[in-house]
Amino acid sequence: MRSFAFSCIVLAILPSLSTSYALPPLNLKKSNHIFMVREKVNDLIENTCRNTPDYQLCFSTLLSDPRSFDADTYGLGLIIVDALKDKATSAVNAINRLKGSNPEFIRPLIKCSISYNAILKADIPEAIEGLRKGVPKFAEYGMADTAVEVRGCENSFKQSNSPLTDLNKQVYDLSIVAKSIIRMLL
Amino acid sequence: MAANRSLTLPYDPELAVSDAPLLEQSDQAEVSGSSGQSRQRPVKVLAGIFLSSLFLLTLIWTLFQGQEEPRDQAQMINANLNKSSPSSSVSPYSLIPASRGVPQGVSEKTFRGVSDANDIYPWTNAMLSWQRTSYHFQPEKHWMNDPNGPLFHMGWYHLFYQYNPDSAIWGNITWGHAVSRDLIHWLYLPFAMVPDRPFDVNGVWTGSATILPGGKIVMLYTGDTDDLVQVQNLAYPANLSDPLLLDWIKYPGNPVMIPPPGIGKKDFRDPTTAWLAPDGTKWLVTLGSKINKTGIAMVYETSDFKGYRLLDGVLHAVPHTGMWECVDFYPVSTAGDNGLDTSANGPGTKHVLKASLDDNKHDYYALGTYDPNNNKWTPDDPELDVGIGLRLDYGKYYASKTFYDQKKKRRILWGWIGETDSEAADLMKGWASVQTIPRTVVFDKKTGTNILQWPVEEAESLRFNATEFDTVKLEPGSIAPLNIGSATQLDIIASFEVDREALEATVEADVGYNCTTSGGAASRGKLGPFGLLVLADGSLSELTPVYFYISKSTDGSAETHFCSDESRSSKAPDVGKLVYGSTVPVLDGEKLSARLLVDHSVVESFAQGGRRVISSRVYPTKAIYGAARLFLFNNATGVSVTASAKIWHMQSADIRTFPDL
Repeated sequence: MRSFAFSCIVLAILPSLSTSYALPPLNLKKSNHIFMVREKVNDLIENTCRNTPDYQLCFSTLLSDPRSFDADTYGLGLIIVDALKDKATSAVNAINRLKGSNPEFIRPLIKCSISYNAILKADIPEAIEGLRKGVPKFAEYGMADTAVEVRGCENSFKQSNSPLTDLNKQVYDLSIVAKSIIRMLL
Repeated sequence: MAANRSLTLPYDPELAVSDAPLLEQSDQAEVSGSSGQSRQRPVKVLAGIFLSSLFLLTLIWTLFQGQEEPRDQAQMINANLNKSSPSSSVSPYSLIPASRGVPQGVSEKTFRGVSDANDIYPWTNAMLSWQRTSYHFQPEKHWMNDPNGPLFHMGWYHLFYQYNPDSAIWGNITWGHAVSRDLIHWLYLPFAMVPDRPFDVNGVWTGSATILPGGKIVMLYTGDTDDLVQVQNLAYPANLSDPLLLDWIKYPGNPVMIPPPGIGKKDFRDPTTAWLAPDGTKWLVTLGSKINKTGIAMVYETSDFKGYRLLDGVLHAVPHTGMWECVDFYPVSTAGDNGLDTSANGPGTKHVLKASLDDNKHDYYALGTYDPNNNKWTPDDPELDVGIGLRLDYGKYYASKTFYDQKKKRRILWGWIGETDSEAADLMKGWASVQTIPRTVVFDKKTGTNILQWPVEEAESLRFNATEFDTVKLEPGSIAPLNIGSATQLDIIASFEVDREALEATVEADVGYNCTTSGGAASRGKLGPFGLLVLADGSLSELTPVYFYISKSTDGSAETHFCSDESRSSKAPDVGKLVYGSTVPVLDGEKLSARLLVDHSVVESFAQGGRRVISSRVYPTKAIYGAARLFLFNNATGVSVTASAKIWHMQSADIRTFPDL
């Protein structure tokens, strides 16, 4: 009887546990807005994200930035690119740390430095320019190249032992979302 | 200056055979060695050693099978000695195709776009600096995109261009400026315009020049304002008697056109050259935009280039084509061979309407009739309307623009060829983009359905050291090296004749062929591919085939395709690997002909006198400098091809800063 009750409790708790793991990570810098319950999410955000390959990532990224509530499609794209810039910066910091702590990875890490330099110095500025000024094709080039650069970084670690996989994947996923939003502007 | 000579090539297949070590000899040495040592040992050990050597040898043998190409080439050369034609000056030999699949149906290596990069290639300085072109226009460094305001004035051709003075990526756009006497030898000048006014502080973008009767020049260009709105602005030379047109004045009353109601603030750019309205006093100018996903061209009327009135309706619109950038609109003569002033109209003319589609980054055009009284242009063939029909260029090409050259009475076409390598590489090499060699544009009187583009004749002044190859017979599956020495700066004119009987006897071949999905020159068909291999290294580990491919349907009609195949152009994974091309009209009695301008990392290919053109960017790692070679090839299975080629080396155009400014 007790074990039955225990099982029921566990079964009751489990779904809520799994749901909480599915929640997007809180971005502490912009966290206040998440706690305000919005009855009606902005239609544009909803429709835009539904047309990207990763609704969840698009939605959570946009919602965690207060600028999204008044933004047009160009603005939404800029928010995703901004989030990508944050992640890319984190990746660069990680690369620099790893160069010191894991010298066995120095060759792929150097390649990744080149890739992320291109992302931060070329792809992202180009995407921001293109979106701000309304010439989306250059923003598309920038995001398409980001995917290339990230894949190159990840694949330069042989035998799939990349210590950057998580960060690379996050950057990659954001670039795909950004690119699909940009395509809506063409 | 050009020396014409036919070469008897000293190519000696025997040498190639002896260079390739034969596998059998080394095997036998190993086997006899091990059995010799074991004579004193028990039989068991002997057998064990023999069996393990056999196993080892089988392993080695299977490994070597994977690298079979050079060895098989040697054997095939042997076999083909009898087949080579003694009268030709070139000895073709058999080419083992890159894939061993049967001609149809086997999954060939599919072409890959840039997004399939596996790794970042370790580019060396030597590889990157080789990529710079020798006779195509490009700035010394940094980013360039659209050609702007081309014009001819007081003996000089002028080119302006979108330029980033700070970096190898798009941004901080200014108007670069260069001049030339002959459209080939360019001299850099200081910037014509920089983003320094509220009406263009966020970008001095694309525009066009109009030359008024009397020689006055007006420039209309798009500015991105301090409020990030796209507007049209007027500028004019500070000093019209300056042949170099160094200084420009921006009309203080700018902007002269702002986005009208219903048009997005970010969907309003790239005004064209103006043309005279029917009344002979007012001017008309057009620019592209979109309404939802319908691409449109709007027309404005002006008498002084300062005040404008938007005409009702649109010049033309095509649904589902998206934003129309860099619209171009001009007449071509259907009877004569000259170009026409932009204001020409009436009998004996057709009008070309062209748009650069933002959506897919391609330049499209269509021929049609312009009715200025109703502000309407109608395509000759609505199935091949702007954005859904013919492309100006089937490769990496965008933002093209024409102008009327009043000196030689030609219509000249400029086009931007961007990079297809990674941004990381662009940052490393410090530059991005080139312009095409300027092309003349005329109506194709033979087909009546397209224009012809051809490199301006001034390009021929760069030619030297001609080499001719006459009637080279290429059996199915053969390649012929063309030993012309250095092969990175070339002007090639080649023609191909397919064996008549075999062509007629072939009932059906590759009906659904399409360059872009074909897998390139490695995909063998009965009647193709055959053509040239440019920027190839001696072992063909890197090669760029430019080729014809004939497909035939059961009703007997044949279709000719013209393709440029980048799929094996480079070992580097992080570069574009597409196969570009399309069908090309070939009329009865015509040989298949192609002209190729090879200039380091740019190849411009023209089929049938310019009916179809393909611009390619290639970034080889090995087939560079002295290692680059040129070949003819025939990879068809069912037909032999007779090829002729005339090849010139091309000098550098010595593009540099205007001296003593």
